[in-house]
Amino acid sequence: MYVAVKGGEKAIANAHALLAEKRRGDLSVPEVETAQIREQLSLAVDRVMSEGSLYDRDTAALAIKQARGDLVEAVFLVRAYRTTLPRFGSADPLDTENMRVRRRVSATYKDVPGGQMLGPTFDYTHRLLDPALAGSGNAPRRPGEEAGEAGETPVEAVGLCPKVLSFLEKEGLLPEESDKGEAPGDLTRQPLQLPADRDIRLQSLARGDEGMLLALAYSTQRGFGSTHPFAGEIRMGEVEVAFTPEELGFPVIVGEITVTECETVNKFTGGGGVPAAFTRGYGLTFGEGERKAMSMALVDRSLRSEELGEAVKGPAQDQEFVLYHSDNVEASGFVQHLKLPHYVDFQAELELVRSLRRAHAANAARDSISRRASP
Amino acid sequence: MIHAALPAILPGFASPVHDAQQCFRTLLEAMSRPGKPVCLGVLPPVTSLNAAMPASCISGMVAIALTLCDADTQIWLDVCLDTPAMRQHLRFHCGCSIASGPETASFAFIGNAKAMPRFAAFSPGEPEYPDRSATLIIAAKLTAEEQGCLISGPGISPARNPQGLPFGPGGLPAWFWEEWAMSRDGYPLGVDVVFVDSHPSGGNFVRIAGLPRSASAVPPSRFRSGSAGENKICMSR
Amino acid sequence: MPAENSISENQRETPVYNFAYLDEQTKRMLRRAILKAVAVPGCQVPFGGREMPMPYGWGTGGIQVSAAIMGKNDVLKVIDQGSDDTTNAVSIRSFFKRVAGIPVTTSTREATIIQTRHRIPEHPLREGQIIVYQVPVPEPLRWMEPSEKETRTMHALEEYGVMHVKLYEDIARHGEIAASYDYPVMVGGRYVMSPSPLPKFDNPRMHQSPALQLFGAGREKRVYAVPPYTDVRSLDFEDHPFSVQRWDKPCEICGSTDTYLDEIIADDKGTRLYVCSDTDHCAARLASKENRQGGSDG
Repeated sequence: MYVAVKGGEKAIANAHALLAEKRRGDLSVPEVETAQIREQLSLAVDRVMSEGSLYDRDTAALAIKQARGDLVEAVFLVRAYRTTLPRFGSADPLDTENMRVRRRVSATYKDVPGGQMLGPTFDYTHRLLDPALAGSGNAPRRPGEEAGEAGETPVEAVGLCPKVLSFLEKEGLLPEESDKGEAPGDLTRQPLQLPADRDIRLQSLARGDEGMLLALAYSTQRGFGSTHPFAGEIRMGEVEVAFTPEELGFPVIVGEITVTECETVNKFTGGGGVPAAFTRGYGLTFGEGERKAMSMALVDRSLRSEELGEAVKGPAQDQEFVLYHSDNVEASGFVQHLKLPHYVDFQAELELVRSLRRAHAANAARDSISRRASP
Repeated sequence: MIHAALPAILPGFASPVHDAQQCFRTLLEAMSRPGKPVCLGVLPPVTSLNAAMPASCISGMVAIALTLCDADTQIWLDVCLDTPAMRQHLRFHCGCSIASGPETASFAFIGNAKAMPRFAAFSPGEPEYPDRSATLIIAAKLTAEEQGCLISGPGISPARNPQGLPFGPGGLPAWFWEEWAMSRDGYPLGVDVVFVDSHPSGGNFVRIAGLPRSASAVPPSRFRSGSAGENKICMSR
Repeated sequence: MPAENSISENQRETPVYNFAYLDEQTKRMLRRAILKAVAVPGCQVPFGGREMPMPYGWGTGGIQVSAAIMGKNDVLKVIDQGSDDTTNAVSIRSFFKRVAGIPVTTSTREATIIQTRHRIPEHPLREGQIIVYQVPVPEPLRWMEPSEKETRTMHALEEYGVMHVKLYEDIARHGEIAASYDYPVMVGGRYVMSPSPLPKFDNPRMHQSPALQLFGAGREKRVYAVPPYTDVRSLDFEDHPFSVQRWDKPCEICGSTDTYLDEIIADDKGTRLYVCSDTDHCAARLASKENRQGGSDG
């Protein structure tokens, strides 16, 4: 009984103990270390960092361990920790043009300066379970090994390359995005207000649930507010984070982070005196988060429909719908709060439904009597 | 350069977390019970900030600033309060920016009420967000020697004050209550007021009283003179 | 490489939090919002809600409001469904015991701050007390109009037609207003407000209450307030006046006939029992009853 007359405290303590036991699992199996999570479940770590809005691999790994691998719960742990941290200010905008790129593909050109770089992608893997991974002590396979040869060390090309979309910008086919120099809004400090500007929308999407954004992005492709996207460029690699302290007045490099960036090119047929051109959707995640970055770019572009004078027809174009419902910490809490006791309200509803039924029965009886009474 | 001309910065609250909390609760009580003087019992030192005003009043105002103002708020100081020492003190402790005019201020501190701008000079909020209005912190005598008006509305028990609660802070400009009554037409837009007693308290406390925009006032010109001296004496905490 | 593998030492230790968990900047932001909420009774004031260490929907708004107002001299009571011992009430109470170290109580009389979900205590509140409601959906017009932009405008224009239409449709269809909880109220003659999911039984207690009533919605990031001695009217029609629930049976434990009762299914046959939802009030009443009986015996 979860509403013990005097036992709530004890029940909760018990639940916590059980949870700790389940988290550890079979004691004969070695405990997973957070470093293993950080290194070997790195994409889970990246997702938790992105949606948790905190770039810290160790904290994310700890959260994943503590959450028994439930990533939404891990995001929540990271958020609750993040909100207690002191805040020094806003970093300077990331210069992703100067990213040390480890992966970079463009679907809009056959080749681009800097080249196409596949990097560590699942894209062309055959999704066949690899029994070899079930054991341990396996070093990663090298290219050519399957053919029975010794194989080569995989080459990770790292380099600087120009932004693919800059070529469209130079031709005047794509408006350049410029930095107004204003401090960006911050949803973690101010409540969402509608209509929201793009900085707030992008922040909300960056924190948003990957599954939700994926579904929204997909819905635009199926016709619920189509925005005709091309994957202009997807790049992943390391960028420097700079901060300009008020008292110094010049930027100081405070670190380097891995990010994935996606820029889509979307057709815009023109209107309202503006000639046809392309428009841009933008997505950025911490770490390697290509599915999320692409989804974000599609949804970002959809959310620009109103400012571009397009009809708002699909849910993904509706700011209020997207921004209020894509945060998984908010959504998960509110959906799951239904399991808290509601018996006081339910009692009120019981009385109401009984009373409505009594009234209905009385009416029906009166009707049938008056029908019989009439000749 | 500035530092050479100014005395060393005075400390803020002795116990920043708990003093700010106590001060806030006093403000909350003042706003919840309009016209009822309540006692602000934790005051920061303010000697040398402004010699022209009683220390208890300045101290009360600074306590309110320390409690509510920070980098997210703009404050405005009237001529009487706007001294380099005051600016430096508030900037240092609150990190707030000082507005050049009253219209952008979220908190306006007014030492000389007689010369204060009319209510229309301050932000009344927006129809969708009436909370974005200014709060005026005004030095006024709370010892009720002037005839005040009768205020009523949320926070004032109609059972206990069927005619309204007599409330008469001293030292306000002549137009104050007439204009307050008029600005009520714009409700829920409007400014909120906290009066800080300008009479030296003679102890380490100062009286404050709230006048939120929800309070209706019948100005003295419109009611027969009644007993306006009913304001309660400060209760020690 | 243990040093590299482990999280830094200070992260391993439980972080030391500020008094009442929230940092001072967050408290100031909340305090400014609360003061404005008091100045415009019933108006939903947005605030920069923080992630709390409890899930949204579990009282994060109430917790933030309580954290922003509480001090060392406060005594806290937390109830959920009227009971001090429901799991979430226990959890919130122990949270504040831990992060603020303030005394807690189950007694309505002793408490200076009462945080509640879904009930107002049976024992009348007094001046100086603050009751903090946990609010899931602060917008009373939400079920009629899903868009926040629209409902903001409706409040700005005092355009409450949709609400009256909804209530009137209820009467036309069911012969009565089919709302038994979260029954909308008019505050200070200006704002239609959600009283939070209280059974409508509690609505009359909000009217001219001597206590200050604060409402916190964490997920929706809004606070609103009803100052003491403020008019709070449940919406109704002249020919269909507002009325509250009544029970035919007394409380099985204390025999009370004027309190809100919960229905309990007592056995497999579906036998129903009724007991007070306010456990503190029920226990106090029972104790005084037993005392009286004990007194007459001796």
